[in-house]
Amino acid sequence: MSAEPAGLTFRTRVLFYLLTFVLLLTVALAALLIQAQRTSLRTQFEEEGRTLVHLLANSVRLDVFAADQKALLRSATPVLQNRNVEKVVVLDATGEVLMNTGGGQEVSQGAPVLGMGTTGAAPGGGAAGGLPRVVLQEDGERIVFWREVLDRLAYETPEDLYFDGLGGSASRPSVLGYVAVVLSKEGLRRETRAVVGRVAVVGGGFFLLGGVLAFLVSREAAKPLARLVGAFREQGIMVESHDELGALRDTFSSLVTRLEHAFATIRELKEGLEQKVDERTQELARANDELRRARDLLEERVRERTAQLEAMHRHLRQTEKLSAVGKLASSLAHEINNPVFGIRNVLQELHRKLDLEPEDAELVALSIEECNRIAKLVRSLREFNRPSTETPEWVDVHRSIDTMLILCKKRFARQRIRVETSYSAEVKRIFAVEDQLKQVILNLLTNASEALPEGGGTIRVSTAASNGIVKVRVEDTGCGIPEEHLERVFEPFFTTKSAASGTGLGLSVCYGIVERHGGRIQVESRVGEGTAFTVELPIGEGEDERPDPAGG
Amino acid sequence: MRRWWFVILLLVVGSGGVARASEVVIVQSARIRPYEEARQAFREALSRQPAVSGAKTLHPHQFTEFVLTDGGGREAAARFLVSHPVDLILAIGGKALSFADRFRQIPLVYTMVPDAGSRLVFHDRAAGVPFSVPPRRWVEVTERCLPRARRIGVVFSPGETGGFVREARALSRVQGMQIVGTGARSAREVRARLEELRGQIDVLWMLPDLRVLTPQTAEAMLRFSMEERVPVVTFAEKYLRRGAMIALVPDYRRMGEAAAALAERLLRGGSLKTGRREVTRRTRVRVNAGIAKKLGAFLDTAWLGGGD
Ligand SMILES: Nc1ncnc2c1ncn2[C@@H]1O[C@H](COP(=O)(O)OP(=O)(O)O)[C@@H](O)[C@H]1O
Ligand SMILES: [Mg+2]
Repeated sequence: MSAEPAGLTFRTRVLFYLLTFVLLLTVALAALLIQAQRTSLRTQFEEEGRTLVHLLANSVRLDVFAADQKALLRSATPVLQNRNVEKVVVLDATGEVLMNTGGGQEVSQGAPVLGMGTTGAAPGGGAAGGLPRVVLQEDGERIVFWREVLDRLAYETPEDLYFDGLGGSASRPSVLGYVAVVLSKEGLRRETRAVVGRVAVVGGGFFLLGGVLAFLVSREAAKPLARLVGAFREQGIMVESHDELGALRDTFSSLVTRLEHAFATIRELKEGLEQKVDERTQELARANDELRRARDLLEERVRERTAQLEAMHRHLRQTEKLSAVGKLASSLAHEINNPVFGIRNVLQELHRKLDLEPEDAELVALSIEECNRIAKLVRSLREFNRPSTETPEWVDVHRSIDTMLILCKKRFARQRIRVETSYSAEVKRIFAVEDQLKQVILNLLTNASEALPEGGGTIRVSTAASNGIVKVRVEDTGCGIPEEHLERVFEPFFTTKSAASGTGLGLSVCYGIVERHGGRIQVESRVGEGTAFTVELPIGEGEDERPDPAGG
Repeated sequence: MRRWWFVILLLVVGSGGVARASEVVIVQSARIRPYEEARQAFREALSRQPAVSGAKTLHPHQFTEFVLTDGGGREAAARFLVSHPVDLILAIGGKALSFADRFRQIPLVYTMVPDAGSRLVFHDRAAGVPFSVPPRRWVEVTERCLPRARRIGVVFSPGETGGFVREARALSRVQGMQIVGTGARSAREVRARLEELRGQIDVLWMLPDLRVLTPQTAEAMLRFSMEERVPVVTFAEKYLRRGAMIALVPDYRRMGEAAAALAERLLRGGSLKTGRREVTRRTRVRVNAGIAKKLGAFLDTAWLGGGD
């Protein structure tokens, strides 16, 4: 630490200030102390002089009264033995020198005899209790303390012999003489010197102690700074300067600059980072959106596929059911057909050959009619599941529809049904069995008219073609099909109509025909609004449309 | 004047029926303890013997007191004495006696006055209590208190106390003692006379001698006593405090009581054969035991217990 010149500077400065302070303090205290001591010494000295002169005045009273010089010397001896006393002078009341122990005339000549005489005899003086006045004469070398020697010379009345405190002029003392105690100032000077010496020693000690303390304090004060500087040096960020504080200041300012740079960098980095985070967040959001869309799409597809699967499954079941029912029905029809034909032939024979009463003839005719009906029914049943016996050919779709509309025209008019048609030009001909196609259209038209009320309604027939498929759509504004029935309308014998009017075979026959043509039949309906049946049929073999055999 | 007053007095006493409280004025020189004691004793004694008029009627005495050293005390006393009918003046102390001496028409009793003769100038019918202690008593007390003392030293002025010393010398010879007296004409000689007495005496008498005794000579005597280890027999308590061993002092209460007796007689109209009449005195012996111990003097204090 002390080996480092930079470290010394701060410490030295602190030490210097402290030492200066201690020195000033010491000097001031010493001066104060000396002054106080001198005053006190001087007071003591004067006090001593006064005491001595009082003592002397009292002890020589008798001797002055008797003017006994030997006795005077004896009485003055205790006072003379005081080492400060240079000499003692005793005068009688007239100023005559009774004793002068030191010789020399100057003191007795300077005696303030007259002045004291008057003051000493002043009323209320001396005997009133207070001590008589002491007069001081001072020159460079000595102080002279003058005092009167007072006493009552005689008792004025016999009473005074007996009692004190009677008052009156009798108690006033007279001046017997004067005493002077000459104190040499040498002692005072010596003591003052001794005091100065002692104070100097004490002050020196105080200063030394203060110096040591200052040293310790400065060392302690410099320690943290030194540690700081040391730490800075270790970090290699110390700027060297002529002293520690300067170095610290420079280091500090350089550190501050570096910190500012660092903060600026951090700020920039932070801003860049924020931007990147924003971008990344946006990218993420986009990706998220895409993912969601993809998921939605997927779900949609799954739903579609599931729906398709369900539809296929349903279709399959229906197909199986229908085919089973169809086989049953056709075999039944075959079994019924022959007896019915036999019965009808018999009946016709009877009708022709027998001359019957009109009523009987009517009954027979009725029976024949019923037989025809059964035959027709049976034929229908057979139709349902019959393998296509008739050969398909190119059939004009629109013409088939129109033929069927004309067939129904009379009935529609009666029922006040309006018919709208909307034919697509793209629909031309398809490769199909014409009768069967017509049968399908007729069945759909019949059902539509039956669904419409007596008050009338609208039947709309439209066509469309796409991707080699022709669509024929028959719509009505009738009563509609309840949802629970939708699945069952293609079943054989499913009907909602009375036994007389409905057989429940119409739609099942349609279904069988369309199936055989490799097409589909679909129903859409809403109760109270209407029903739409759509028949989709492939255009047919070869796809390339052959010219109309009818020649256009 | 005097006869007229007596006529009045006789008339008053003789009438018998006229009752009047006696007006007594006490004039006191200063307020010091001995005077106070005397005055107190006077009042008490006189109150115990109230004025008796012819038919044994009791009347309390009326006391009025003045202290001359009090502010305006002298003037107040004078005013009172001229304006009131006063039956008796008691003067305590020499100055009080000098003051009362001027009122010569009022009967006067004095006490605590050492020099009554020189103070009575106008008044010729004053009665007082003698203050001084006679030589016989000095010899007696010295002999009793200090049985070993044989030689009695005394410094005196022949003019003042010559008679006293002569009488004492005769009395002491009877007791087997000897007075070694040296005459001094002034106080300044006292020291020299004392030097002559060095080694010659066993006890030193300090007499109330105005010529010889000053504060300085008193001190010289006391110093002599100390230096020579010779006890001092003195006449005032104040020297007892300063180093004397035995003091023959008047009993202040007795002084007051004696004055009361005189006053009572005067008030009753008792005639005084002479112009002045004094009653028997009493003295007390006070001893400074500390001094006795220091001096190693043999002191017969047992005798003191018996009273004086
Ligand atoms: N266009 C239609 N509007 C309302 N209901 C219809 C329609 N077509 C068919 N139906 C319903 O389908 C059932 C079956 O029809 P179908 O097989 O033709 O038998 P039928 O007509 O003899 O009852 C009908 O009873 C009817 O309830
Ligand atoms: Mg039908």
